[in-house]
Amino acid sequence: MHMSDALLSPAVAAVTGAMAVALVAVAIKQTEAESHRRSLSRRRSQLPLMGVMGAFVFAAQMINFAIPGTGSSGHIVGGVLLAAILGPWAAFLTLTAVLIIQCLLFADGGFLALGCNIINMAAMTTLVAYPMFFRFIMRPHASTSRLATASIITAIMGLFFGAVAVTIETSLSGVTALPMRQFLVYMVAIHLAVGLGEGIATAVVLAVVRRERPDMIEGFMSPDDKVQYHGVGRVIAIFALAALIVGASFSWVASSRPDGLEWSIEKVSDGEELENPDTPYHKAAEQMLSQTALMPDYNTSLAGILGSGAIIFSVLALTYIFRPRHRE
Amino acid sequence: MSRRLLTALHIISRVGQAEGRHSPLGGINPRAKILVVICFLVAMLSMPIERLSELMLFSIYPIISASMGGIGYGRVLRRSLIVVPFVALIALPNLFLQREVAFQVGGVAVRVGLLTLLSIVLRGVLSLQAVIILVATTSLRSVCSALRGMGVPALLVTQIFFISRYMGLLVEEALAMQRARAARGFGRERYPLKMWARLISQLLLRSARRAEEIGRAMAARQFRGDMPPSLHQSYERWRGRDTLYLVAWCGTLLLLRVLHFAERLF
Repeated sequence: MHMSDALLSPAVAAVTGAMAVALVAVAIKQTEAESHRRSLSRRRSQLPLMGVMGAFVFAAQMINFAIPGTGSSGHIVGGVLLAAILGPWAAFLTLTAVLIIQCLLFADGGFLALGCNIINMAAMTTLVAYPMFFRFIMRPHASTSRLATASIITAIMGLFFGAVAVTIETSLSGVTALPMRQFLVYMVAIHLAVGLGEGIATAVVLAVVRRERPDMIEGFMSPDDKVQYHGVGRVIAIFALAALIVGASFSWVASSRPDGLEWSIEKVSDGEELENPDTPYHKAAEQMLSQTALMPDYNTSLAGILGSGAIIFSVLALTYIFRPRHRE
Repeated sequence: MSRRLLTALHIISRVGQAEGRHSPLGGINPRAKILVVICFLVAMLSMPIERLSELMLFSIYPIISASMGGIGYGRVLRRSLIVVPFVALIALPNLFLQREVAFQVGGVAVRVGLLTLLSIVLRGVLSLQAVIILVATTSLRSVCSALRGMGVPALLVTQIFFISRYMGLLVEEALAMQRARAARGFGRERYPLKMWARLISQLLLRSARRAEEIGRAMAARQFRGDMPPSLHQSYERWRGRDTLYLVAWCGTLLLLRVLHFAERLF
């Protein structure tokens, strides 16, 4: 889901960047406040735990499991897992640090798109889906199946919100001509499947953690005042809510114009007509251009492309000739 | 799978020693470099996507920077191509949706959709190249100290430090587990979910134990939540050449953005 700079406009990048900075500032305050409520030994290990958990997510992402029947394989993304172990705010900060490192070390996701990626992947899972779904379903000494239900619903919803955010950001940037609704169907369908895989993977890992180190799972051991606990009825209610959100968005998409493609072509050609008003002045200018220029002009002409190519080639040649020599 | 782990380990091990750090570009203050990359991205990405020829001109920035950083541009180009499939997939519909003819080459009509597709791919490749060159000439440590100097809170910068320190360790651990399994796996390539869960959980529990040990060790050494200031101070000095670098590039990029060179000259 890493977004590339190519699909973003600077305005969208600036807005999402500012939002991400604000969220990080709040998360730092919250993490510090939360750590003061913890026992001394847990407080002492909180910072290294966040760091090592971030590194764990990194290593874990490289180990794949086989998806039965498909021949393909998947890996964990880790948002829900981190939130269940570190708490949402600390998990958000850890994922943000992971995204920054992925961008700077592995060139995953763009530099300007960092704000978008932090919101789509870190915030949507840990700050939106986790408190809404995981905490709601979780209760002290929860059974494995309850833990699994919580992980699967939270992972699916986290990725769903992320996919919707990606669609909105891309459409607002106006780079691709793909209509927003079709893009949404495509993104949501893929990410619902990915979320199911992620949820199952998180569930099986948390099941082992529950057996071996139950104290590591947030809200499992002692009734914490922040965590709300509910019976089976609430789990069903949450299921219904999740289904409603996904279903409603799909029906909104389905009920939209069936001929979305044609509608958008119409819109594109309309836009073009607006650019070239039919005044005599424009006609004269156009005629002059077509006579003087080598080729009829759009915003980009073949001559422009060839000229730019020549410049790039000469700069390449110059930098090769004047490249710095290694001083031994 | 173990190849991916090894590749990651290789990249991580190279991070401490950014290869271009002794080049002319490596000597520039990381804050100046980060600001120029941001300026480049804003100038390039704000160019309307139909203007392919103007966008092409922006590639002089990565070409010159790669040369200043002592890295071959060919390698930067090859590494940046990994973004093409992802970006092209989303840009592909443009080819079918924007059918107006932009110009003709020898009787073959070139459609606007093709031009916008190419320029979206170009945007992706160029923005990736800028980041690749930044990272190749700056160690993560100096990027972190630059971030700290720009006012990014200690908690986040410490996280980046921690993760980058322990990443290598945990990838090594994962590699060891992967080898042990491969030795007993009778040539099976992928893990079924159940075995994967046991493996990942082991890795998780080991990581947590390690974090507790580190926490105790650091507390014993008076760690109070921030790295010692001596760690960033050596990188802090801002020299005249940093200002020159910043002004020269920002000026050039601004001119490229505002004056449409390609369409004026040709």
